[in-house]
Amino acid sequence: MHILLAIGPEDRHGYAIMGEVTRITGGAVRLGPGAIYTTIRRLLDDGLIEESDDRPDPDMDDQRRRYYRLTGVGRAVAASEVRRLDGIVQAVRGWAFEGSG
Amino acid sequence: MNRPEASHEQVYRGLLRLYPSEFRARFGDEMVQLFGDQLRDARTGRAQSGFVGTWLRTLGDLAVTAASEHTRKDRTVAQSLAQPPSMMARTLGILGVVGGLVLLAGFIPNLLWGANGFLLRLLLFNLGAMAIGIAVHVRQASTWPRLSLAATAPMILANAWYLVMSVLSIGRPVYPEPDADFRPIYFYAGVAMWLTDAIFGLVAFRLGVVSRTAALVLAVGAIVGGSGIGGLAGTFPWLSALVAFLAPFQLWGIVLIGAGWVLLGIDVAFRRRLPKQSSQVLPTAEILDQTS
Repeated sequence: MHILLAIGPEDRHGYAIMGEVTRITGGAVRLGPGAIYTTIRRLLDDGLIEESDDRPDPDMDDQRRRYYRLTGVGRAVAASEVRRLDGIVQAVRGWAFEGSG
Repeated sequence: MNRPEASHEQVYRGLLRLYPSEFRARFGDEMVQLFGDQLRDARTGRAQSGFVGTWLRTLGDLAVTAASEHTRKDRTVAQSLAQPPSMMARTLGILGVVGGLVLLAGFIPNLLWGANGFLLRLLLFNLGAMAIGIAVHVRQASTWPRLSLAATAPMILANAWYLVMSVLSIGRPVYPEPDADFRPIYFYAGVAMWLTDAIFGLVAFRLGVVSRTAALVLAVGAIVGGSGIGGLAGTFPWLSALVAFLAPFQLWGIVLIGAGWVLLGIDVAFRRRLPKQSSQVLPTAEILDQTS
């Protein structure tokens, strides 16, 4: 799910995805190449992401580098997950910060 | 000019052999590049961890994900859309299960088989092995046809040889000791059968199209079980040390062979298989159809 959310609305290659996962988790989650690409493979197999022919990052372009983006199903799944997480946060917000100033 | 990361990338590329070949072929170059990018950032100070930290984290990542990628099966939407085994595959698989079970049945205490019962067991066992060979080859042929055929054809021929011999032996003293006319034929048929079973299992393990566990159980069983063939060390003195080491485990080897055929039979008879021209990326519309 981290990778699905890290790809977000853009086309990203593996290294950009890895950096974005680190960024959105505040450094709590750091994925290696194996974790990145085994997950990418699974997301491709499940049709949640697809390869993109666009080269949105020409400065770092390389023939070996492939870009990935969300499919329609992938966007729906990501949105559903965000709603689920948001619902959990909303449900506990009332008491979780009581007494914390 | 050589980049400082190049030699590290070469080492990492070698380590990628721990992943299944299909995965490596698909993502290997990208993974090496990503690793190189990490090292470059470690060298230039853009990343918090240095070279050593990057290496340690990558080795841990590699150990965990390579193992999980080998065991990853039946967990994707694509797999759920895979085709069920054909009637032919089911029939061949069940024959293999029966063949493996009759071999294992020999270990049931107080179950007397008699000479012809013993031959009937062998006959069913060989039939089952041949059936599995055909079914497994059909699956493997789309991956590496020549290697699959090179491993399967000798195994089927060796089992057919043993089967014909068993039929010809009906009514003659065979067990526990064949008569003098049959002894050399039994010996070489046995060697051929266990050797080709072992190679078949190892190739199936390498290709990974059918259950790797089942293939490995069969291969190990054939090697260990085959070590107990009478006269093996005498005929092939260079094998004597190995035979002496493995001989005490021979019966366990036979158990593993039976279990290997049973597991392979279950795999080809009941596990779904992906279509031959399976695209790894399923069309969105197809996913929606399946999930709606």
